[in-house]
Amino acid sequence: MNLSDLRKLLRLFENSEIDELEIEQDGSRVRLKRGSPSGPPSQEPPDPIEVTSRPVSSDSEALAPGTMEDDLETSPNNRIFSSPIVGTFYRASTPKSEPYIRVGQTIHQGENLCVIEAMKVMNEIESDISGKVIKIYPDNGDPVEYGEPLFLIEISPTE
Amino acid sequence: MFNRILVANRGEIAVRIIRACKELGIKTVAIHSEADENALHVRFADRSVCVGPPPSIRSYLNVPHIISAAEITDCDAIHPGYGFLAENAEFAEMCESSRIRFIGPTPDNIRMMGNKARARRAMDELGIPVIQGSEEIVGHVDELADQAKKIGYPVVLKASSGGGGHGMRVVRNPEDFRNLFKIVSAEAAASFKDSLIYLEKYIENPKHVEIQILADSQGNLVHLGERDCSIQRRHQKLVEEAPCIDLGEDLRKEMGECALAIARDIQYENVGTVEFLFQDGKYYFMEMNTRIQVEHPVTEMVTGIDLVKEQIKITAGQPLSFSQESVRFQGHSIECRVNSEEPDNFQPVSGYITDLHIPGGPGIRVDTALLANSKIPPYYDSLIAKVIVHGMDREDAIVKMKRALNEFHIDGTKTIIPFYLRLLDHPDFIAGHYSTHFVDDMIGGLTD
Repeated sequence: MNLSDLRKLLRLFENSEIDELEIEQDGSRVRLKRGSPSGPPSQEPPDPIEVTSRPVSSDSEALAPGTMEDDLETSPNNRIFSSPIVGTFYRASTPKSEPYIRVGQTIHQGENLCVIEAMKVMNEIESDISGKVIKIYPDNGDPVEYGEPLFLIEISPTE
Repeated sequence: MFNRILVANRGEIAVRIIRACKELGIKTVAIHSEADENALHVRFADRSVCVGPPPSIRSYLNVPHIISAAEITDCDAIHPGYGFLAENAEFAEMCESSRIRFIGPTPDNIRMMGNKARARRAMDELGIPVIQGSEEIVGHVDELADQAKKIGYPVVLKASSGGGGHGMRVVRNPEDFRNLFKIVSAEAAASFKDSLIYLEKYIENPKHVEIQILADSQGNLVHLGERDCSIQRRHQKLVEEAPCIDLGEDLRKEMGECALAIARDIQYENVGTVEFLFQDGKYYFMEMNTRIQVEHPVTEMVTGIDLVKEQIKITAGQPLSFSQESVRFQGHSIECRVNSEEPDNFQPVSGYITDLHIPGGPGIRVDTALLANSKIPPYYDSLIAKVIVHGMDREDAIVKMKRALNEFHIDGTKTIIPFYLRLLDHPDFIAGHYSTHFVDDMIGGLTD
């Protein structure tokens, strides 16, 4: 992101009502955040805006909020594991159990990823690939349809 | 009344059901396969759930996915439409045990009438005229020949596992019986899983006349007159009309009461249709369809009654809001099923709609899920629109249908509209003199 783009972004941000904005693009990340909120508009001086800008390595593991995700989905090493059935998505087999997997964890083909409840039956959903879980799309208890993305998995090099 | 209904179907009937729900203030959930993501019924519904990949067996017939879809969207009822799961008694039962109302008749009603041979036997016992026939017999040609003599020629020999015109031979003379029996047996053994043959009286030039009935859960039953569905090709209906001009007031009343007697006997609920073969003032029970039918609009046009809304109201426990005495028939209605098929050989065609103009004007109704700039998927049946007209009389209805079909413009696929335009000009059709053989004969003539 060059200086001209940054200026445009700042102007847009100033004129908006957004409190915080983070954009990652082409290896750069920009985060804009308003200072403490003050009273009513126009005549007041603009709130101080904090700008931080730093390059981001291309194989970062944790996902920060607001990050552009298109690149991850289209990366050739990543697969979206989608729901094979219709039902309610649960991270664990019971409300008190540990989730089957967490972000960053490695999963092997045949291991359980989650449970999808359908017609009062708890269906354990097995992974058909091995790799590292990069992202979990639905929240615990969300309804999911056939083909809905559940997990983003980075394929192991041996696949 | 229901809060949210899941529509377990696609295409024009799904759109139809969603429209009825909207008018009743009921929220809707559409299900769809991956091939129907941008379909009209999905756009019309309040929510949608993808239930599987394109093949019907994995999506629109996928019972667990469909019931699960109703559960995760908090639906309190499912409307099955026609085809797919509409006459699947197990599905109706599974809905009820999942605490979801099935909008249609009871599972027992469906089962009773689903076994066609058993239904016919039951009707016979009830004293309803049925086509005289034999029980299924393996191989005993002498017994069958005797029965044929009793029933009276002409008779038709049918392979029990056949259907759609296959494994059938008409026998007009006793001398031909043994020979034709051998042929049908050979065909049955070669093509079908068993070689059970049965015998029926052959009705030469019947009309297919069906009676629409409604029954609520409180024992009120009403019939809404008949539909003439004789324009069929290979047992597939193409054109339907109401009323049947050969019927007359007395026969209408008699056949209506016959249909109601059947419904009463089996404690039928919701909408249904009793199909008869009709010739020379005599009618014979053929079968009963325990669902809303494709051609329901022609009855809606002549009676002013919204059959899909009635289905929903009946299932919600409401009594029928009209009596037999209050039913009025007005004018004449015709429906043409516009199929995405080659107009000369009826081969299904899929395509991509690039330009579309739907007919309109007085007395025209078009039930369709067609959308400009959309695909016609190859996975499902070829019915892409129903053009329905309502005129003051039959002549007026025919004039309107010709106008409407000529206005209908679709770029991107072929349709059988050119066939209908020829049919509507045919003197026998115009005179109303046609039997269930008419189209097959007409097509035969054209290809000579």
